[in-house]
Amino acid sequence: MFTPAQLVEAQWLATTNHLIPPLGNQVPYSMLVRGNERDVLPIAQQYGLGVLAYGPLAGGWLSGSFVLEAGKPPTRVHTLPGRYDISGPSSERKLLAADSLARLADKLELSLVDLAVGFALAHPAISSVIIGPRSEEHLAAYLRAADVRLGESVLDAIDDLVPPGTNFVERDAGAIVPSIEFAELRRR
Amino acid sequence: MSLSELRVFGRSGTPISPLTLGTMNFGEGTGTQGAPTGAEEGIRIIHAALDAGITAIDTADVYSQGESEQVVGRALRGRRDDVFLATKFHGQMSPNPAHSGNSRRWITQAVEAACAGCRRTGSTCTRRTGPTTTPTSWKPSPPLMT
Repeated sequence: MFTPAQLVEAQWLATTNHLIPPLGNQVPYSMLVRGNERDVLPIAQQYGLGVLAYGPLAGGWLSGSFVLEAGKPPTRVHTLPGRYDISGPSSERKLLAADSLARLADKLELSLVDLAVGFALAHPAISSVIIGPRSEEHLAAYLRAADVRLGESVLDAIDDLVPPGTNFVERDAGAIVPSIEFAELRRR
Repeated sequence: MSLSELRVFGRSGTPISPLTLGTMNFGEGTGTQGAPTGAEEGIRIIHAALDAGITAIDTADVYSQGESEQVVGRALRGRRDDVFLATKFHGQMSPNPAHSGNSRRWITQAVEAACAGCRRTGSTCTRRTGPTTTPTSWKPSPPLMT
């Protein structure tokens, strides 16, 4: 993961040294992980960086297999415990948001996967949305979602449930930046 | 939106499909990611995705410790030129600390290993520095911890 400053610095370094500047980036982006709308995606547009967006289902939170009532965590809860710890207050807010997005999809008679992939495809900075099927059935569901185009009113409704720029959990950004992750970097 | 409505990848000039097939799940699961999809199933998924109109694939050296790259290489036999292929370096590939990170040496080795995966399986990967093998997720080195 690159910070916004690093993305710009890489362009500057390459240009001032007559090298070829980087032309791509890969970032998490979904209805539940919107932090990159603040800087990273506008920077990509400004400098002509292609963007592959990963995690359109937010690592399983938007797969539709999770329902709040059942209290059933997404399947990867065991392999990436930090990301799926549902006990903290931030995660609780994220759970409620996931649930409300599922209800919105129901109301629109779309699957949650349709809504999630359609949302990620709607951002003008995104070149392509990375899907992670584990089976041919998963792939079929994703392919159906590629035909979904969400209208303004649907995107507005998503914005109402999860405001633009929202990251519920710091590590959802892809990585925690070294300047705050490592104590050595902020202590004399 | 449909899969055939290609989008240009930034200023590269390369049109790619709006969906990219991610392959982190492919391999027998020797990596930390717990890949649940075996090689044969992975190849079937890749072929189904290409047949449906997907033209971009994303992998990484660390996905199942190289297995994902090999599955992709096998699946792309004879179809390599149809695909915009992204892979990554930086992650730890062996207990040797030199087999990770962003040194010029390791980047070169990682790209050559990715391309060797293609060659071994009869696919071609000749544009090592071209847009078809753009590493899209190289990462800054974390500070050296002692």
